[in-house]
Amino acid sequence: MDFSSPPAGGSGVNRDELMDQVKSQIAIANAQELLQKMSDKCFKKCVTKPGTSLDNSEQKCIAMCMDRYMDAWNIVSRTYSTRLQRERGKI
Amino acid sequence: MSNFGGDDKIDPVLRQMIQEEQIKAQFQAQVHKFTDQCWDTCVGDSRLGNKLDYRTEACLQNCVERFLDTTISVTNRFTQLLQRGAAGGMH
Repeated sequence: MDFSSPPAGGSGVNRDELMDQVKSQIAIANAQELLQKMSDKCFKKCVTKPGTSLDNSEQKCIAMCMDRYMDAWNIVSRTYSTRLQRERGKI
Repeated sequence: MSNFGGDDKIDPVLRQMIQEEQIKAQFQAQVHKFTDQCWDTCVGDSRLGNKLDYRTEACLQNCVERFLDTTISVTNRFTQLLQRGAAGGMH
């Protein structure tokens, strides 16, 4: 993430506007990462014999795979967060 | 983290807010990495259903925890090896 260039508008940009930009850039990057991972995993899982188009069963598989990947993501997120809190409690 | 060309010129409240967003972004990046690895380990080639079964959920949780344990083990042992001056053939 590159913060080395000054925000557009220089000193005219107020703090809230800047923070909104930062948060939204981070959210976009996060969504892009998720989309890329889901495409990778679900292609591998669902499109084993690439044809001339995605057939119905492949599309259903991809949709299901996306839902399961997001479930997995949420489980990992909760587990990691809980673990961090536990580690912090030990300090 | 790059320093915006002079820390003393940055509003300290803004800097604090940006650091918080960076910490959150680092957390998200780790979740992406763990989900990527643990999906392969726990879901892998198995069939997907309308939800993740209990075994897969447990596997995902264990995978995250054990990966963190591994990182801690590796770090601790490496520190010991360095202190003993016996870190393989490293000079």
